[in-house]
Amino acid sequence: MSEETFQEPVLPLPSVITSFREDLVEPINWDIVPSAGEFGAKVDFVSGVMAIPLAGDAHSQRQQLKQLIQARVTPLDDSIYDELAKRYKIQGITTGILRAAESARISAITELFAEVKGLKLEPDGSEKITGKRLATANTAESWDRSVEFTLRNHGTKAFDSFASGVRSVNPEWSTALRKLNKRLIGTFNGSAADLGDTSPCSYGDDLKGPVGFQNTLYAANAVRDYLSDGYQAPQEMREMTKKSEDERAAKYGKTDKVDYEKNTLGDEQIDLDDSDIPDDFEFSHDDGGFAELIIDDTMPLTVEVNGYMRRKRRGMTSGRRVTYPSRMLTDPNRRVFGTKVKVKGGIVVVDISGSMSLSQEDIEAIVEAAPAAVIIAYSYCGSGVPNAWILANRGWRVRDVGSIGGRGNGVDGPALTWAIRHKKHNEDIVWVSDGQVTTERDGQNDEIVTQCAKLIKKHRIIMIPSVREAVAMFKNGKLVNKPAGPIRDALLGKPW
Amino acid sequence: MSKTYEGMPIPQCWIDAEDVMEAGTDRVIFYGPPGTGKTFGGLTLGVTGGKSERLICTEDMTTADVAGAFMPNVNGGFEFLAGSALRAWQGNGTTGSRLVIDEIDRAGGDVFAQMLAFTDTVDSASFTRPDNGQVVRPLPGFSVVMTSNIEDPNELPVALKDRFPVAIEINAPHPAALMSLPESLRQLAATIVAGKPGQRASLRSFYEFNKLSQSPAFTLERAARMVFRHMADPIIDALKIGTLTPDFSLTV
Repeated sequence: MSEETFQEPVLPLPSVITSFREDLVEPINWDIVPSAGEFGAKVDFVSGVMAIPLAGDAHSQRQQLKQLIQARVTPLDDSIYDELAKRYKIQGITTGILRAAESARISAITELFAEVKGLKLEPDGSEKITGKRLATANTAESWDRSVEFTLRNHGTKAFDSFASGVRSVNPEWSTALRKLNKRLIGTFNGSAADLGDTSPCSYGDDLKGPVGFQNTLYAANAVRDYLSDGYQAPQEMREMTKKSEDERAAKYGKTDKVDYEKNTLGDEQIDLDDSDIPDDFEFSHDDGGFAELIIDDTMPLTVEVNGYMRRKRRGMTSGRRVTYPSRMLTDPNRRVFGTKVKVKGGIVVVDISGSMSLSQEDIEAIVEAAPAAVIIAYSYCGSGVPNAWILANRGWRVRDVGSIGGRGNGVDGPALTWAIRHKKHNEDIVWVSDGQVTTERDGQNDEIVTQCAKLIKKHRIIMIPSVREAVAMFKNGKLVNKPAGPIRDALLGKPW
Repeated sequence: MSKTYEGMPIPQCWIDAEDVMEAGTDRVIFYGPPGTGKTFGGLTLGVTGGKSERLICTEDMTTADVAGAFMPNVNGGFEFLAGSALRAWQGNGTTGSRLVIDEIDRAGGDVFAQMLAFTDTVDSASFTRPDNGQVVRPLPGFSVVMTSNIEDPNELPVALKDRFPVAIEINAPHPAALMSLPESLRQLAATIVAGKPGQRASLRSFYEFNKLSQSPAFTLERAARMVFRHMADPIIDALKIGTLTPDFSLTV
């Protein structure tokens, strides 16, 4: 019987490879641990552990090559993704996009080496089916996954096969994905030395990373444009995304489904946590906050609103007081009891800053639809002068609103807390605002936007973006929450 | 800021060695993995008194290699020829020179005892020449560097450790020893020579690898296989990925 001998695999030399990095101060003494194929494969600079498949097949060798190149070129400090995502959040760049773009850069460099080593990636036949499946689903999520596939496989035969599958179902998608593929090929067109340059480079205050990482940023920008809410995405996808976001915003940002097939490019959708807002929350008036609310109570509310004082009564078949005895004889249903019809009301907070307006006709239209409404309008007009006006108060309204407001916002938050303090049980608060909230000095910051968003979520304040829409909603009797501007984005957890 | 040589950082072990020599220590052991340039460093580092003398210890060597022996001369007679240690004592006649003793742990008992005598302190060391009875003592400037491939200095004999209290682990090549390699090979050689056991190669391997890979008869891969054998593939991958050059070549 022959004795079987076990031959130790020849290990790669990551310590040698990383010693070539221009941005490495102390050499890394890597420990190599075997991984099961690509699952669990990783490069951890902090612990000096590289997990790679050690089998000798082509797929394992390719994975090994990719991990070694990652160790050679990728940023040493993992926090660069979060820092850059914060810095570029206004452009919609997320940590997920940056990581995927970096993976694409590493793949682009890997391809250059794989070609020389005869390890070029060939399609395995599943790509075309994946393309067909995603295009058939025709959802914003499936589009984003197609973009992600393109990013990870750009410039390869696998992408060509995928795009052909997409084209057989939706040619418009295929055209857009091919454009993205072309753009990514252009981005990663340099030599391995250029793409993987690890010379230290500044990415902003105290944030350093390798020069070659700039290519990752270019790719991230390209991908951003093609995601379902980006301007390069098919029109249908953009509309679908907007509709879905509108629905979520109307529910104060609540996510009620978990999509396990969601792509990894977007940030995780997290419900806005309003638990830190107490019931009696008041805004700070420090520098960078709102001004104090000063209500002008000299405005005469001299016009009585129809339908409030002399409320309509309605005949009922049961009740406590007989109001219509004659109906015993005249009404086949004998509705002799009378009950007062509930008068519509609510507290209507109206932003009348420069970007908004409120006419006398608007006031009259609102109180006609909701006679019990309290209307308070606000606009910051300078220190020490009134910045809020009560224009209607439960059955009475102003005769002529005159010329008020038209300046800054300044007191959005305090106007909302005033409404919360004055609302009756089961009464709605309606906030007519374009979602732009500003401080006393007409600035905007994360804190005031987030606090206002949390406040409207906590108290289920109905937000309507314009007076015209508010009037229309009051007239047809159905108030729909339609958050707008930075408040909408804050509710959706998006940058503004 | 770390010291550099021709733009390359000098490893700490060599900085220690230079500082020790400069401070006047004249008995030093260099130990560590083979092929890091310990002997080269011993022969050149801080040498002032003429040509250095080198002794390579083996089990079969005799005291003649150390102190000297009577040898036949051209006149048909015999004359006393000084050994390496005695020559180093006398140096250029006014200053003693450097004696480098390689692999002292391999020397036999007699040789070892004589080596201890020759490496003793200046006050205790003396040798009477058998040809003329002259008592010879080491001249000022005489110094000894002993090298060993042992990984742990505690493995050295106690008497030796007593004479050589300063022992420096040389675990990386001196940049000067890398200068004869092409620039693109220096970083690779520096790291692999200082690598983990089982993943190391000597400086001599790199000199040969460089020679072979510049020959038109050898591709880079073939040259690597000839020199590094089972480590050829990882070394070639490290070279190509490290320099980010998929089609790396050393051919001039």
